[in-house]
Amino acid sequence: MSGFDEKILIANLQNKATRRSAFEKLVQEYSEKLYWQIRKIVMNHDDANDVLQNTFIKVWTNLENFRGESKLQTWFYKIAINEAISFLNKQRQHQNIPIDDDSFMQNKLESDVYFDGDEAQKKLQQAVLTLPEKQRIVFNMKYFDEMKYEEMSEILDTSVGALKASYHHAVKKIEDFLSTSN
Amino acid sequence: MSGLDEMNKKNPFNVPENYFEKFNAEIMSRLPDENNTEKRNVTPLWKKILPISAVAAAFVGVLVTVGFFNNKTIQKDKGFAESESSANETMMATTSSASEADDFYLFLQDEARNTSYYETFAE
Repeated sequence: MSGFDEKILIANLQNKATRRSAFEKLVQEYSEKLYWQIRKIVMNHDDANDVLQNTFIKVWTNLENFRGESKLQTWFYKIAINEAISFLNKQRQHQNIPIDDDSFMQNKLESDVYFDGDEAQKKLQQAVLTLPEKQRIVFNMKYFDEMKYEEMSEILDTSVGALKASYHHAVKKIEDFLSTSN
Repeated sequence: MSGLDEMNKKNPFNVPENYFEKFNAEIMSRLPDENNTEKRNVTPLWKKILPISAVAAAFVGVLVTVGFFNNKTIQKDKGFAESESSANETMMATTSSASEADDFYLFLQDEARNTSYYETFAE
């Protein structure tokens, strides 16, 4: 979305008369992108659907608080990622699962009916799931989405230097996992 | 990084058929009503300050009433020879201020009832 289009959309979102129609456009524009960010965190389609709904409802109820200091997409990603992480934390708490227990997420991958990758892709996903949560998010954003570090820095509120270090460590861990599992 | 570079980066996850089309329609129907949100959040300023001002006014009323009675007592203590007329004037002022105080308390009672703080006066 161009800067000009975004300014018009923001103005329409903050005007009560045009808010709903503008929000509908926003959903059409961003739902798929946000879904995949969320899905890679929560793994499961049904959970991703719940989190995506929560994300858009949160965006809707906080539209008047958006000050335009960052891009809309950055703001949405922040909300989506926070919602996804909160969702997982609640699930772990509900099932009394420690945060460092890998099997929780590995089981989600194993039981996901909407995974149709090959064996190598499954191995890669298993390797990614051994990473700590934030590092996993950094890896997915950089490796699969090819996002720029500057954009990741705004979304994750982390310096570019820290993100680069995190990504390189993630790559090393994953390559070690893949070589030992072969 | 050569190992990962050779990997297939294609998204291995998928979604149910027509998921995004259905989602877009469903989320619009789930959005909270804007009007309810507005009514819940907006409290008129006068409603916010009235309870505090009612309590403050009651306190001031007590001080004024006590002040009038004390004033009469201080004049006696100073030992001035009061003429009957000046004593009567003082009595009338005290009586008049007592009825004013009663009116004032009735006013506060009505206001407190309206703001659901009636219990303060019913004790």
